[in-house]
Amino acid sequence: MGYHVAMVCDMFYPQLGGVEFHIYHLSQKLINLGHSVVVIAHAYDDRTGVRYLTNGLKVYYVPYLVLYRGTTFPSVFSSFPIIRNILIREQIQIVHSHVSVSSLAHESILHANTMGLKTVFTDHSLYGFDSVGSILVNKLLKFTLTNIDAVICVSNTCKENMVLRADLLPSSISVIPNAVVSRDFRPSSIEKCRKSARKITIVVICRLFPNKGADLLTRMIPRICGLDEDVDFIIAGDGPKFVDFQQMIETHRLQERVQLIGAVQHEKVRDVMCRGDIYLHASLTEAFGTVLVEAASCGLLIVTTKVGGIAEVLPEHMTVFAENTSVSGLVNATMKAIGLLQRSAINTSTFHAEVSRMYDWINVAERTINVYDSLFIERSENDKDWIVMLRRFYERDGPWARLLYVLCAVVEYMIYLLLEWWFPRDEIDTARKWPHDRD
Amino acid sequence: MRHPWQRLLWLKQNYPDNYTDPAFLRELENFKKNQLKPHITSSYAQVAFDFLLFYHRLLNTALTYVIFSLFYYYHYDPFILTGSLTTLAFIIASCPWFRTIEFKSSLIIIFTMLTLSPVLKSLSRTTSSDSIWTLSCWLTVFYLLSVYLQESSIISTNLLVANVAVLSSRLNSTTDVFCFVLICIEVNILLPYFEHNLLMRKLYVPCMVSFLMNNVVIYSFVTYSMGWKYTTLLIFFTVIFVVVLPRYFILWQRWYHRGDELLGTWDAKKPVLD
Repeated sequence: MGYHVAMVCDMFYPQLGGVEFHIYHLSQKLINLGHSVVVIAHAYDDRTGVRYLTNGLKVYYVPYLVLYRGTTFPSVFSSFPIIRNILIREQIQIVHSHVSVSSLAHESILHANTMGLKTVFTDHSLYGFDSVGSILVNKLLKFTLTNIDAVICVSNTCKENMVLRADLLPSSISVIPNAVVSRDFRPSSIEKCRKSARKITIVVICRLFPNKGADLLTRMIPRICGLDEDVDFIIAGDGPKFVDFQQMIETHRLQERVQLIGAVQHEKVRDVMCRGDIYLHASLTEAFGTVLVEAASCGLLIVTTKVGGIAEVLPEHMTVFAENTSVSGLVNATMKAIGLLQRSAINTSTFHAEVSRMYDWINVAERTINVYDSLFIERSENDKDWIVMLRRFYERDGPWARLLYVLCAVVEYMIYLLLEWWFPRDEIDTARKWPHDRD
Repeated sequence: MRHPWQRLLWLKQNYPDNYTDPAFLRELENFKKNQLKPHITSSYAQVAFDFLLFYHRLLNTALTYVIFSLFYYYHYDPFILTGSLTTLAFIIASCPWFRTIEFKSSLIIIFTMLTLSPVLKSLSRTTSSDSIWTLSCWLTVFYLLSVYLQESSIISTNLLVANVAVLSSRLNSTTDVFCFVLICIEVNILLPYFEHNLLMRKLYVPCMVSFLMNNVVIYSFVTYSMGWKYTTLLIFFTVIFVVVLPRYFILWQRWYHRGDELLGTWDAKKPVLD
């Protein structure tokens, strides 16, 4: 008998991105392993209500006010009635929330704890400690993760970040990396017919934002084009820095050599990658860097800055690291990589097979299930006891915050009691599970 | 023999997923030890001075409302006040230290305001007074926030002008409107600028004079219009703001300082554009 899991996150299909794919693939593999998974997200335009995706993955699109970049308005309690209804309807045992800027995820953890369900939280990104925004997010995280049963982070760097942000015990956080569907990132089957052996194409695929190193890229590309006549660039992605790239191309007259192709659909990413020999990544912060794994899987040599969790992601023979996040550092690293390829000192054709052995969603799902198992093995009797949870809230933070935490918790309990009386549990129909023939 | 743990995600290692890098555990221990120690703080005098400056700015902003009530409620003749203040402003502006204030552009601004006064007068006349008070209150809050967040920001000037424009529709005549706008600009833009210049030159005596005058005007106005009870209350809050809050700030700096090097590990790296 598998677990009944609810994945909760503001970000989900039709929005696309690392987190969305993580939730989707993890859910698919959990279903394959015989567990029942539903996803709870907020509504996207007219995409509201219940929808089914591949393999009977049920998605609840809850209508909510969207505040900023696809996250809902934080309201602490207002989502309780509907979340409670869904959790009871689907007979959920484990609520697995994702992303620390998703208010729906935070609220669901609080509600699930109140209802006595197991809670798991996965974080996908890194946060600083010195901006107003991150201080608020960290405070919120400290509140909601007070009674969490397990936390998962995508890299060791991410985990250490989490330990300090939410003041958790290091042993309560597991590190389970992202994965790639290596079938979707095969190297080009046709033998690359380079115009000459020296001709090298460098691919950049990222959203053109300042924190992705757009400023570094616009300065280093002309320099590399000046240093080596046989190097071309393909830049995919869109963002506020797009104009800077256009200007860079015009100022340095690189129209022949730098191709700026704008945003690329996710299923086309592989095709773009396969047109190149080197993948260049100039990001200034990164928790994991799935795109690096995807590029390596396509048989590209990786040139990257060594920030965040990037150093943990790929073995050294697949990557050339820049010694720092400077233009000259990246130029040196890129020239080194170009040299390696031109001298044929490196064989990238084995990368795909190696990567597919390293990263696999089935492995991620199995490790996640281990975490789920531990929730039921290591449980203590009063883990979800209201008084115990209240005491934890009180012991959690500073003199002002703790009072606010306790107040929120007490109100939450009162709303729960009210809901139990107003919409009794036994009047909520349970949903029939998608039939799976297991062979 | 078990292999030593490596900080790599691609390597399948015989360690549980919740294994923690021992190097990090050491760092964490040091970090926690450092957090418990008291930290070096700013000097109390400096902090108190900064609070005092902000308090002064608060009073300046309050002057807007003092002038408004003088015109609106007490039907005070605007000419004497405006005339004297403007003359004073021109004298200061023509003194050799403050050559930066352009004579010509000031005149242009004054004439523009003169032309715009009738427009401002009727701009929001159809809106009810209660809405105007609420709007003005919020604009003032945002103005103070913008002053607090950025010293020389165009946003604060815009908010100030918006507040003045909103209030001026309540006044009785176009002359009142013109005088009100002019005084508000003098008090809230020119005066802080002038004081800032004085502080830069370490000329504290004129600043003290302006500060005391500010206090005298506000407190006497509050006493005159609302009575002693409110004045006492105001003094009480002032003392808390100027004396107690800096102490509280120092306390936080000493015991809750979070500026450890470790916390910067996860910030986005600065791009070096060499």
